[in-house]
Amino acid sequence: MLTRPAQLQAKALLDQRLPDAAGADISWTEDAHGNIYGWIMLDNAPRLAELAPAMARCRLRLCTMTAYDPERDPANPQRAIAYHFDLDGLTLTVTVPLVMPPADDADENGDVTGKPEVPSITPWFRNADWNEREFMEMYDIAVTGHPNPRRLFLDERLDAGIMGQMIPLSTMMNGASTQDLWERIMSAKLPEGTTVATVTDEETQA
Amino acid sequence: MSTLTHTPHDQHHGGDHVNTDPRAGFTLPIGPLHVALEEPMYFRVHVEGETVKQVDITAGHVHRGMEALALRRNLFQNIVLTERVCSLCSNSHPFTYCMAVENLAGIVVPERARYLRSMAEEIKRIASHLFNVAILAHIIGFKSLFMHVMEVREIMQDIKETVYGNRMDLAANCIGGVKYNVDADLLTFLTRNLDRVQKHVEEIYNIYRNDSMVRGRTVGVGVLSPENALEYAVVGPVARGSGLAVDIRKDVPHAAYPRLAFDVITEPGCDVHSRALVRLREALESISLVRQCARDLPGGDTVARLPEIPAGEAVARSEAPRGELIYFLRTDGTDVPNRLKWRVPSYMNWDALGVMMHDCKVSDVPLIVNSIDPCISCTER
Repeated sequence: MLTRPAQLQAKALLDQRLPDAAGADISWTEDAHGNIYGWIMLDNAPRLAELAPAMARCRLRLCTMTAYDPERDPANPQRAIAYHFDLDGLTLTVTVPLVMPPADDADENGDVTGKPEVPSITPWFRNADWNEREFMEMYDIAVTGHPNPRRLFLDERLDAGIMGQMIPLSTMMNGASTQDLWERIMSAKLPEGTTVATVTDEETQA
Repeated sequence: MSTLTHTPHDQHHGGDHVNTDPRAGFTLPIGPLHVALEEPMYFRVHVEGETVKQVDITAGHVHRGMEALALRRNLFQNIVLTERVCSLCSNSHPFTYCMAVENLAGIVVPERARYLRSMAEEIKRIASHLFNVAILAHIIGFKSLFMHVMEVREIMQDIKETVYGNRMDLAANCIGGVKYNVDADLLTFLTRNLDRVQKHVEEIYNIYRNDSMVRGRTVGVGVLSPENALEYAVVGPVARGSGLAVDIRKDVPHAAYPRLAFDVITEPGCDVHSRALVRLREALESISLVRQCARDLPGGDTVARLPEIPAGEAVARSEAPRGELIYFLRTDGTDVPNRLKWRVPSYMNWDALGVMMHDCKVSDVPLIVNSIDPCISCTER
């Protein structure tokens, strides 16, 4: 399998220019077709503001960003963001772990008031705009220095991160179809002194 | 660079400012439900006379939370889910998703399956591109051309139904390969019908390139310069219609594409007309690609043996009909993804509408929107 020369050149360029700004080396993998993938793990979110201009100078193209919870533990929510770039067919993923606000930073209801923060890269990559607005509202992440931090998909009246609280319709339907709920509905409709069991018995005898 | 005030850098927070001075123009709401839109999207268009000066886009009307659903399904169930992100590029989603799983687990797809995957992609591309250029004819009032292109597209729908058993969702892909196969009879049926389609598409291409009515409504309309195309990082026929030779099938070799001969189609006009011509020429390239797949289809298995899927991260990309599609998969050693994210091509192209619509006429707004071949169900997913 031949690795494309353009991707090899891109790899050499990134190896030369990015590790200092990132404060970390790039690790490399390949797929079955010989395509090259670079991976950088940053120590902290502020480092991204140093790396972004260096990446822009390399003429990387931002493909997308992925915000996620690395642990998926509801009791201990975490946040990280993976930034995916392209350079001549090479794919570079830069992962930024975010610091969660301390649990004692809470209001009178016990809700944590702070948000994990990450600097905006929209000043260097214009198409970061929609991506950053999307994870602001879907993952409740604060983006500092964003030129236009308004909602993308969700209405202003909804809380950021509300989609994480959604219960799938199938789960709700499971609850609605229990025998207990059915009997309570039927009981409410029946004359006083009659039970669902009585009616069922009569129907069975008939 | 355009001075259009639409884009988020210049947009006031909330975007609710409406100028009430009639001398300064007025704001025209288009959508979210509008006869010219097939899916809901809200455009606030600020006009002076009949000239568009500012566009603000509000999305989110059909957001379905599919990425959240993907985290409640196992790796096999997500093939079915991703096929339903969108109808016109429904094959590209499970195709790219399966490649992400394969990249993560180091699965090598058999040669025959690679060709069958490319064949399915190109069949969908022909039908998708023909649909878009048909809608262009519909918008400019060229009804006979619209009907003719849709009639030709119907041959592609028949091909899909015959080969895959479905007119839209082909269910062609599985992790490690494909779950369909073709025999000599099906290949004969396929190539015979491609002969019919090719003859028509060549004729349709000449109409779009030369007809005075088509040219009168589309040449010089919705201009996106190569510099703007790079700045906004647009993809697919929108980028190639601005002269940028970007195509994931060439840049990131996958499936059978490294073995197939095809050109990356570009047009220099940077306008609605150029984007339509790119799609029609690409449809002809795709016909050639399907023929090559049918001619060179190797024997052997159609699916690889699957290992246990380890914890890890992987990225996969493909060239969907609207441009680059990227999937990011993160697993934790269970059969349910820790994160599955996809970015569709339309997501990259919406923002550039602000540049394309600068100083255009109100009557050209639907035409310019259609020229990015927007997919709202993809964008909002």
